[in-house]
Amino acid sequence: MSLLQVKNLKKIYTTRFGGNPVQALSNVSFSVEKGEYVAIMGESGSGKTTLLNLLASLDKPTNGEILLNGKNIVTINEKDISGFRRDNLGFVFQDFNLLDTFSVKDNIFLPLVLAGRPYNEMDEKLKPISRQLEISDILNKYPYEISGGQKQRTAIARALITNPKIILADEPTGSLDSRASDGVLKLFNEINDDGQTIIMVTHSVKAASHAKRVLFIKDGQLYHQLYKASMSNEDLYQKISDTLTMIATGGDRNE
Amino acid sequence: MNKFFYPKLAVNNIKKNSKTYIPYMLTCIGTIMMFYNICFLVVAKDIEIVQDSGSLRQVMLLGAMVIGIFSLIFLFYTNSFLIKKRKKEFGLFNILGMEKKHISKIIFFETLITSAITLTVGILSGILLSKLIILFLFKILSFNATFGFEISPTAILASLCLFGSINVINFIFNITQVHLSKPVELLKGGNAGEREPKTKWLLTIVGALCLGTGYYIAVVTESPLAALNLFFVAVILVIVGTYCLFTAGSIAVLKRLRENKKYYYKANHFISVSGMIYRMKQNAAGLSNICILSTMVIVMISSTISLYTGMEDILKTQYPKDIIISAYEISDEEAKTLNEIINQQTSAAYIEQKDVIYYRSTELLAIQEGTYFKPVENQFDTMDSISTIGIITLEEFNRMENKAVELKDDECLLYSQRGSITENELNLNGYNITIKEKLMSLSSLDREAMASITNSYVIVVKSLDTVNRISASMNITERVDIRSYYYGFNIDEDSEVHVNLINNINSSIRESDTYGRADGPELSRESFYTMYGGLFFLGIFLGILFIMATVLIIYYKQIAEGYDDKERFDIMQKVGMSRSEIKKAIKSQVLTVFFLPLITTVVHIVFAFKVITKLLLIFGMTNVPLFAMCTVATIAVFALFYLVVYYLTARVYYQIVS
Repeated sequence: MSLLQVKNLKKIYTTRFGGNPVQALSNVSFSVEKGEYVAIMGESGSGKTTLLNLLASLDKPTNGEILLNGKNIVTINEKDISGFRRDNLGFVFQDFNLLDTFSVKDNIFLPLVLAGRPYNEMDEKLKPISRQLEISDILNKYPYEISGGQKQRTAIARALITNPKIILADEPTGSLDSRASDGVLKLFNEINDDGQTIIMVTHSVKAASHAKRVLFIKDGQLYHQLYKASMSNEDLYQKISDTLTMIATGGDRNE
Repeated sequence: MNKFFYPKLAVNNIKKNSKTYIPYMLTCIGTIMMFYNICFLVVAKDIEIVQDSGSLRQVMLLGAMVIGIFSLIFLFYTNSFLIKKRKKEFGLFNILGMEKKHISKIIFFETLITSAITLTVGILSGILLSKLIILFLFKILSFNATFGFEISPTAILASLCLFGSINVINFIFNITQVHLSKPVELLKGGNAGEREPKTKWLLTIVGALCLGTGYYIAVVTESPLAALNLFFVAVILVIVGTYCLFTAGSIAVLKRLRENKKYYYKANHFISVSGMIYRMKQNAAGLSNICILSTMVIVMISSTISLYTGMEDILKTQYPKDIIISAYEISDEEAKTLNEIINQQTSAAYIEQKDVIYYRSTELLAIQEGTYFKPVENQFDTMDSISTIGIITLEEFNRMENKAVELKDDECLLYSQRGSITENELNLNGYNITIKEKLMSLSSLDREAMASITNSYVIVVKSLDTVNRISASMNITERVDIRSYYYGFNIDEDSEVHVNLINNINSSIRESDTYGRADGPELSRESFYTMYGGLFFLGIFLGILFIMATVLIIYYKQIAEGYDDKERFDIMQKVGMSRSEIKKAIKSQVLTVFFLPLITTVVHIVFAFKVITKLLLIFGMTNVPLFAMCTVATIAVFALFYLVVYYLTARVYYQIVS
């Protein structure tokens, strides 16, 4: 059975004063296997952020199911949803979302502290992660004292420390320069090689070319998908570019 | 360009910032209203009918000065807060192509509009309120109010001048703020990447020392005269201590907590401790302001209330008898003349004297060192150990107490009204005298009032010879027969008869060749009411003003924090914190920030309680339970008020955060 199954997902936004309803997702279905690395691509307004928010259980779909390990996360009630999110999902954001009032170490500990774990256990978990992410020597610094790349690595450490089933990344390289981006993408490949499932939403062709599978969304629908299989990053890059060009010029799926 | 462009923009800006501007304008209006009224009371014609109108006006003038200075500081403080919040807005104007002089123009119109509105509304509502205020004052002074309505041009002018200049000062401050900053800085406004505050151990230690010393002085001081001197020292120490501990001490404590891994890494502590470290950096000054203001409000209101309600007690202590005639330094002959005058006047009015007591005594001021008493050389040295000694003869003692005690030449009886003598011998600057007996009570002398401020003893000696020797030893050179005289009695008559009799006795004394003064509770009641009633009124009046200030500071604090916290809680929600957990965290954090000053205030008052009771003794207020009750009641009412403000502002806070 797939780790994550998305079935007939539909999301309609209605504005508060009864304006026209906007259909953000019309009918999306796909599934993700354990250990996969999936990139979701699409233009602005294509509905990819909506999709990510639904996967993250930050928002509820109008219709459809999201099954994680066979359990429908749409029906989890408000009270348990934060705990569910904390235990099963790890988040990496474009703007890092680190808290200025916490040191790097405390930022990483945040989800575990919220889950009520003892300090010794947290400390044990932090050691290998910080070594892998090369942030061991900045653990006691504060977010305003470190570079963008270091910030994103901190955020990744925060996502990893709970051993989540899936890491959801929203434009993880969007605020980084090319060198820092390369570092973060390499890291994602590394943790994926260790067996971590990753779903990444991105604009960047380069970022997507590191994934094992790329899904394309257009106007709220799944438009196309590419498997990397034995392709090199460069080959996949080329294919993604072609697909994006096709989407942009309005080509039909069956062409 | 349309000539109404700037005024229009100014109006729009005020509307847009209504969440901060409306409370500010309401406070301005409130302060103006109160200032007009206190000025009105200084000059109002109605006040003339109060017997002691001069001193009442003095009290009100004092109040006007306090309110004036307070308004200046307070409105300046709130204005600087407002302008800090709006820096981003001005930065945007600047980037959109407005020059700084244009921004200054907008600020000018904004100031003009807000001050025009607040001054008009403030003064008009002040005028409307003035009748009510004067009725309330007369009620307190137990006078019948007059009818008619009075508008005081002087008070209007004073208000216009004061608040006009405050607005001008604020305007100048605001445009210098805009001129001094660069557009990018303006755009960034308040939230430029904040560093974690450093632990300032020195300041913490200084704060703890100041507070400790202040508390120590307040608790240790026994004598009211010393209290009068030391009270202000203690107050300043406590104020300094409060500021230091709120700014540095709080951060030191929080960082300590953070180092304790077991405590810190718990969900609720984790968020609140880390948040509070930054919170305290920004808000320590505001919180200590709240704390000090609250302490002032509570002390002022509780002491003036207890003075006012304890007025009858005070009268009773000051005047143990209905009619009291006292004279210092008169001869036996003159005392006899006084007796004749008193008897003549009472029988002329067909009044019966009851509970009559009279005695002569020699009164000394001395500095006490254990059992050793030495003459006072300098009025101001060692106020603490100053004591009064009344010496009466055995003959007089036996007559008044209806006893037949016998004494030898070098023996005496001692009655300690206040203070203690542990040995069995007294040394009066070299003259030794043995204490034969220590009297447990000597109520017949009516000397309770004397004992309220200083240590006070009564010595009974065998004869005038002994008195003479003691006087010589204490360097008193007057003739032995020049002594004090006290004559007191009760009568069963109306208040009016009391006053008439006292006045008649006084005028007879003036016509005769003797000295002395008659007095009584009925004569003093009115001036007591004027004095303590005036203070009571001022206490409430200033109390309301200070509470208003406290409320506004709290409100602004909450709003500022709300905007800062919004982002934090957004992130935490994304990382996996539930809405109810967030609400709980917010609640505990806001509660701490809110009630820390209140708790500190209560602690301050607990420590100050004793020294304030000593100070009240100087006003003749000896009823400690009454003062305790007034204090507790005031704290309760204040806390209730605080709670209401907390709920109102917490609601605004939640709205901003969620």
